[in-house]
Amino acid sequence: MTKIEYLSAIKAKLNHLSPSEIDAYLSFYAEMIDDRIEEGMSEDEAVRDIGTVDEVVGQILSEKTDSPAKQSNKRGLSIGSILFLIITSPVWLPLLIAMAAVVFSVYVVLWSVIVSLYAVDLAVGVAGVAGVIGLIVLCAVGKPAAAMLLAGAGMICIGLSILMLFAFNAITKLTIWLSKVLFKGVKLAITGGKTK
Amino acid sequence: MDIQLKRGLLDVCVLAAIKDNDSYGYQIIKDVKPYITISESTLYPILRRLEAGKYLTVYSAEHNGRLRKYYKITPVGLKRISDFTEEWKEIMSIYQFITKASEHNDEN
Repeated sequence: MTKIEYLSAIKAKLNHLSPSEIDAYLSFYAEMIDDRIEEGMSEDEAVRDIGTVDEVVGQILSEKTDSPAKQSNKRGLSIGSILFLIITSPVWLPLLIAMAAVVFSVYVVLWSVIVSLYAVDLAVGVAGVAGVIGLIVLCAVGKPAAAMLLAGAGMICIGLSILMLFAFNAITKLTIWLSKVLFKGVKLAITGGKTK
Repeated sequence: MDIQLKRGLLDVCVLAAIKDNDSYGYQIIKDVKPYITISESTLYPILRRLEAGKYLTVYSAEHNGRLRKYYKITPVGLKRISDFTEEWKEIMSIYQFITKASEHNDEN
């Protein structure tokens, strides 16, 4: 197992701890591995010398349950900052609401574009099918020239709708990606980049 | 060995390992290992605990192009070691009393 594999396996099993705590553990174990490698061990030997992932994680978690007391409430707000937030609420509350409204409307716009694109595609497709049906009807009535014209137009419409489906699918994917980016941006703005 | 006793001993062993020179994690383990079982995963919480108790301070220094954490003992840490040795003088005399008593018992 390489150092990176080892550390990421430990990281995966500690995922319920806070990111800063996980980082502290990982940098500690990374240093331990580096020091062993420097002494002449191979990466694999160094990792094995420290212990299996489960042993390490088990130890970390048992130590954490042993002494959970010293966790200070870093996330809690002090009375001063709560008071400050209350006093300044007439300023930031409308701004917050306005921002939420903007974000929401951007979502709505993005998705309504997608809905309308598919509606166009469906309409063109239905028109095409109608053209083909028209061919049969017109033939039965005895107007072959008009029937051919209608059938041709119908075929073009069906072809177009199939081609547009591919294009619209690509646009939808792009929109989903865009809205994800937007969502991440909003989340980051709210949490102040504290959570990863 | 009793877990509480071992814990107390490990704290002082780690402090002893950095008493004369600042040291880093792996070196501390190598120094302490011949005397008492210690691993990375037991060392980490000890270092955290000692740092929180102001027995040692931590600083990072460059070593071979990477950062390594070094641990430096504080006056509080030094006092902890001397308290420990003082306390153990007492314990040793108690130990002698106990062993002597049991020897007498064996003879009788």
